[in-house]
Amino acid sequence: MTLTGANVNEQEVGPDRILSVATEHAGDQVLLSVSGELDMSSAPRLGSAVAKATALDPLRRVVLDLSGTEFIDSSGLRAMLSAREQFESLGCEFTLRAPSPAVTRLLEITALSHHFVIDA
Amino acid sequence: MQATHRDEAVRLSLPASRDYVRVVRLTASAIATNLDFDVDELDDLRVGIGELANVALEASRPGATLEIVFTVAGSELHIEGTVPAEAGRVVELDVLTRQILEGVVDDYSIEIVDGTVHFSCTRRPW
Repeated sequence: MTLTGANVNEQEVGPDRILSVATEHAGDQVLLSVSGELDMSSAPRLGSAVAKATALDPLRRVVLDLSGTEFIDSSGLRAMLSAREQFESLGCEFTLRAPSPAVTRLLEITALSHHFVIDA
Repeated sequence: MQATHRDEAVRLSLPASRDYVRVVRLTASAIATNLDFDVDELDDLRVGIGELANVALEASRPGATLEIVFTVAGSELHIEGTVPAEAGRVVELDVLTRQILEGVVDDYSIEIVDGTVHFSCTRRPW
């Protein structure tokens, strides 16, 4: 997904800079880009970005770019599942884009790949 | 952190805080790098010890100290950890955590005994 005329509206970065979540919003589409380590400590930052995105109106499509996610654990997976649930409850399309090897590995182990629409 | 080369053990002592789980992962990865672990195995190890540490911390007493020992035996890395448990807490592994652990480490355990959370895992290169 390429957002034309999009602004990087917001970026959630923790004080330790271990994880950043950048939000780009254009029209009825949102791109959330996760970079760094998505674990128990940093997962709330994704939750925060998701919560803010769900307040946008109109919202038709959300893409979660995971190409820069260097590490993920069960907390990160739960944050992704929660995000999917929240956006789909609003009638939005929710897609994972370019999951990193770490994300792909965990999705395979947990057989959760089929829970998401994945755009490799 | 101190290392005793004679018994190939590395001991880590840190605040029982989720902010420090990354240090545990990094230490495990650094030690395993010296063994015959490939990149994927290192990633699995980091995930596995991280999951156990997370569960242990969820049951830990506020302000406690997490003690971890990394022991190398041949090409195998064994990790054991303890942390004082909060009164009345139990250790529960949900389905997701259990699936992950079974997929990334060769064996693992976690329980509360006499007010202390004890956890361990072992990883061998494939």
